[in-house]
Amino acid sequence: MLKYPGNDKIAKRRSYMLNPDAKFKKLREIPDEDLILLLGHREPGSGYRAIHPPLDDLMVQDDPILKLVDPTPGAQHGDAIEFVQFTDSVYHSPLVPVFRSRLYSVRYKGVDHVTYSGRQLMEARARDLEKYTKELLETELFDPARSALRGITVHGSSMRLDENGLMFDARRRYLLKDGEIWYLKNQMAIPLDKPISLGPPTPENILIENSIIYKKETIRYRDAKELLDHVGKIFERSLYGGFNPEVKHE
Amino acid sequence: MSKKENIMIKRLKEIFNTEDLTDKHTSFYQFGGWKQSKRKQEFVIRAKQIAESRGIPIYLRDRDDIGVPLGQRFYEPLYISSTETLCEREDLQLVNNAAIQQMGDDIKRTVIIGLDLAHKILKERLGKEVTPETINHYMEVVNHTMPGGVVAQEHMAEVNPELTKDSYAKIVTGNQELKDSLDSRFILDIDQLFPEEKAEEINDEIGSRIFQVTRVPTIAIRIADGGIVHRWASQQTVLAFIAAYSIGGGAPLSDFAFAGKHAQVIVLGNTTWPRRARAPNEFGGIPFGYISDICQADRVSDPLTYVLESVALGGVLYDLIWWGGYMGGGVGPVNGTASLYTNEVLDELSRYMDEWIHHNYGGYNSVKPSLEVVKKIAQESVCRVLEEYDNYPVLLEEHWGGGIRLNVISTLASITTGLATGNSLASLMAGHYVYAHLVKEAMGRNAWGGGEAVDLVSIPDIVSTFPDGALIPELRGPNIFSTMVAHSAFPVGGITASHAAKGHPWVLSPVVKVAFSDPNLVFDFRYVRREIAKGAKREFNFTGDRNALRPGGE
Amino acid sequence: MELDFYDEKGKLIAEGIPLNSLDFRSNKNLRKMVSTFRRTVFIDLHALENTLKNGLVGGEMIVGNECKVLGVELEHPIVENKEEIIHKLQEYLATDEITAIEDLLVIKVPMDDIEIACDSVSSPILKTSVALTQSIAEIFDLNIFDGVDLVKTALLGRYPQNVAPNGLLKSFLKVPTKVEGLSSSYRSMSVNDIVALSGKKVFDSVAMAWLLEFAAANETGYSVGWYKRLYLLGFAYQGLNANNLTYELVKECKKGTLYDVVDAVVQKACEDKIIENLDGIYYPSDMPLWNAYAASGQLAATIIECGAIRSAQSVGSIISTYNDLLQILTGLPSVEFGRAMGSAIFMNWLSHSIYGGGGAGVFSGEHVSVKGSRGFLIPCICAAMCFDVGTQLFVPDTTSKNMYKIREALPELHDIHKRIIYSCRGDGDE
Repeated sequence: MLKYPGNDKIAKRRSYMLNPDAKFKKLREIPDEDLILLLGHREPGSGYRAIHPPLDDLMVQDDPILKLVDPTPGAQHGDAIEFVQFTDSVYHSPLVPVFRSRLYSVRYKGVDHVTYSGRQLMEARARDLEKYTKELLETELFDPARSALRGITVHGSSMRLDENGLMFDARRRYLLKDGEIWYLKNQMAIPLDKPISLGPPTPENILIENSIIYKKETIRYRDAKELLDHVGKIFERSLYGGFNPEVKHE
Repeated sequence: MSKKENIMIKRLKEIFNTEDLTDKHTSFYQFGGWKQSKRKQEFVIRAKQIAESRGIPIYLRDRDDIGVPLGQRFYEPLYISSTETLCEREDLQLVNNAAIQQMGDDIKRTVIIGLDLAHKILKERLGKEVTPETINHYMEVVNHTMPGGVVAQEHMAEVNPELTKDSYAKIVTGNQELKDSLDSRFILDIDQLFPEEKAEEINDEIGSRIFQVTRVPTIAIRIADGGIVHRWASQQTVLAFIAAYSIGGGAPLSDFAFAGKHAQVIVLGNTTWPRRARAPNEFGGIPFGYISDICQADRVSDPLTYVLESVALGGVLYDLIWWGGYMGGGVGPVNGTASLYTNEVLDELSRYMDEWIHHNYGGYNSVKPSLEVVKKIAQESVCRVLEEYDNYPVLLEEHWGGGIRLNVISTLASITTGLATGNSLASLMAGHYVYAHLVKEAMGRNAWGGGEAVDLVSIPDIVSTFPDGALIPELRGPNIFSTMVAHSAFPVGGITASHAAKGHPWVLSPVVKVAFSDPNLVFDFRYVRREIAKGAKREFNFTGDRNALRPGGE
Repeated sequence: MELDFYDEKGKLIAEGIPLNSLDFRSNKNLRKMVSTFRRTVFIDLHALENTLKNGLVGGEMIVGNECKVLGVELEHPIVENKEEIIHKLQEYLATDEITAIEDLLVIKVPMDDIEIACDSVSSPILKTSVALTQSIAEIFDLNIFDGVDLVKTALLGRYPQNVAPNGLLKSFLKVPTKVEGLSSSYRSMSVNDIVALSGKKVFDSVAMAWLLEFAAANETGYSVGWYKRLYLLGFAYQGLNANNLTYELVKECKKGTLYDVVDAVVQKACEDKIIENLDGIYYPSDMPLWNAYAASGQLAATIIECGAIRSAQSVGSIISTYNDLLQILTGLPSVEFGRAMGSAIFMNWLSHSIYGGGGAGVFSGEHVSVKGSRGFLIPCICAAMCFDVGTQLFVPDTTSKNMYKIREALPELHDIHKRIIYSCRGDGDE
């Protein structure tokens, strides 16, 4: 099993995130209907928007390589490719953009993603997307105060926090009420017909305990010696490989 | 490390209007939205007048159904580093800041023509005498032709000098005797303009060669592109020669034309590749080393200030004007560039790293370049900034995007490596290392969406012997994919630092260095940030306008 | 070094092939194959007839036509005179290699011309335009006021008012004035064109893309000296499924994700003693060979993941994340020492943002965003496009329809994966 470099707490937590067999703790239940409303791609009860006929009805070229790989259920049915986007606070959102892309690639099949500094976009066939998003929202991978669904106006990851501990959102998609975080708008900031609770914010000490960010409250980056050596090696080998790949460099 | 006043902290307190910079909590949604901004308020009022007069809507900031509601958090102003100027982000937008535009214009409208070949033709082919007197006479004539005066043919239309008053030509030479016998109005006097030791080296290198630094009028490049510059300059130069030396005939003229238009012309910017195709003298074609030379802060400041001024110049020119225009159409990328020259952030961080160099290596240019040194400096730069983010959440808020953070940190690493090693290649390596790998593994987030792409490509490329690799840093520029994308400030900073550390009087060309020491330039390249600040305050006197052509104009 | 090669069913098709036989200098069949891309031009006579009839010349839009010149229209039965046109072209171009697929003429200028030409990419299209214009002028007895200029304009578009022909006469490669970098025309075919020309089959598309990239590497010097094995091995492993590595990786990991490919590549490289694991840090014993393994894995990851979503749009993220995981989890350099990852990141960003855009199929190797990867990226994007079942707007079936037809006229490009391999053992020698 490949692991993330280093043996400190952050490195171990990062390795755990990247373990394909990890079973993440479920912290909240989000009914399918609520999930669909939050994503905003279809009405609950309606079918998936199709972009092409089901694969069984399509004529495709005769290629053994194509037959070697099974499509996901969404692809099989011809679902449109839809998106979900998360913004993650620097203040210990349980997942952060680079690790979202890594984690998605470890756990999920048939996903497309783009990594930005504050946000992470994932696109996938609609039914696959809903399945993956469910895990991302229901488990310890999400904290409703420090991670957020944001399809548009994504800014906020590096802002100081609101007095109540919430990450800033110019579109005010959610608020804290009675100890729980309620989404009043979907990821595209379109008002919902009913508020949807994503549960209480995770206590600060737990967020820090489970953080995957090298930071004052966790571990200083300069103390992550093994990681820094490792990253330095990648840099050095890439440089020397570019110069002369035939010469061996340790 | 020393206990000097931390100006960055002072500025952060002022702009965020708080004494406590350590609190990671604040409040939102109560600052009055976009109305926090005086500039936006002005814009809204003006927009209403414009909409009414033209009958088409424009700028609908006061409408709440047009995209994001602005101003939901505190809209902090910005200090321009090294000045007391406080402004809004709007004031640093390319279109809103006349100084930034003139900075680009003054570079773009410059072309340098070697006169030695022309003099050779005069003497050898035409049997004319070339003396200080004839050169003085020629310089008078060329200062008549360059702004649009006619000399050879009647019935030609001439240009209103009010429109071209920033156009002229001057001479650069290292020949003391010649210089002393020329009219001082036409001389860029190296001895007067540069510190003694540097002047000596520059004079030695330029020697007896004579160059004509030519400024075509700003209005010319506002009508056409950079491709007009060497043509305008050469045409008017050749005509001046014809008139000054009474040259007739045909074939010698064409030799003149070739000398002036092609054989001895220094065009600052190369033509760019097809997809970004621009004429010569556009910013994407200017090599990094020229930016270091164009920046004149080394004549009046310490090496670190020179480096920081060059970073501001490179950042604005390449990222805000060139990249912003090429990729984003000219609207938008203010913040990443502004972070390099506002609120004393990079200044304060650089001062820390400067002391760190002295502490670790004894001073500038005091450690041999090696990957160990590159890694150590890059690491310290990253750790220092991340720790400052930890200490001051407002600083992290100020650096709200990965592109902003990476711009600052990679520049810090690059200039520190340059200062410590005096090696420009090492300085590039440090910047690329930070951008490609180091910050990403610390924060779990990196730059903008395509941010590290060029760094990942550059790391193997800058040392490979591929035809499109291994170009020395001073000659690289945004026309090379590997360095073109939105973070060209760090190479400029690193390269400037590498040469500043060794006390070099120029980086790539002594002639270019002298050309921009010219006191008649509209933009003062000794004080890049101060000039931008003037632009922000709307106190910058620019040229190239068409006011003389308005009804009632003179 | 000798390699075994396997087909798209994982079946052994050639054994003990010396690596050097993939070098153009020792493989004349490969030289011949790649020359097809330079010396072939094509013209749709039906489109030409229609264009002349309606004065539809000079448009610059890639899709649609904004120009229509009034009063110049020419009504001539071009298609009806196809045989006569071919006959004249054969004479003027001194070639007997002209094939008609319905109304589409596929013309190959003689190899001699290619050898003489300094710019052998532009020459065939320029020369053919003169021959074809004259042929039409003669057949329809056109004089100076009878629209000869319209015919020529229809063939070459706005050239020379623009800097590259963009009329109805087409070639595979872009002329140098349109290409980013010297000697890079072999990298100028779009992914969609390559995919369509290779019959939208994964291994054939990859092999064709690699042949073109390898030819460019040969021409630019990327594959000279220190870098020669890097490219030969990359071509063999990623491009041609050497030692069945790509196929085996796909088979082994097809139920998994791209992480499984990363894991499997590392294991396989350890087993084959190309890398060694010492306390969690991996040390390479042969960097170019490690790169070839990693590149095979990159293709396998693309196949598995684009196969799962049956779309090409994710290829940028797949390649960037595959390489990202590979380097961070092992400390080894990723494919091409970071170039493939960097280029994929940029391509991914461009194909998901407002800054230029376009889906995977419209990219080409010399495009500014991906040219930093020399050889190892475009073949994977081609593989991705083979899996796309219509999720993209710009797909081979719409952008490159003609390529499917042209393919019929170029048997030397059929089954190109096998054909390249067989060329290494001298099959196809004349």
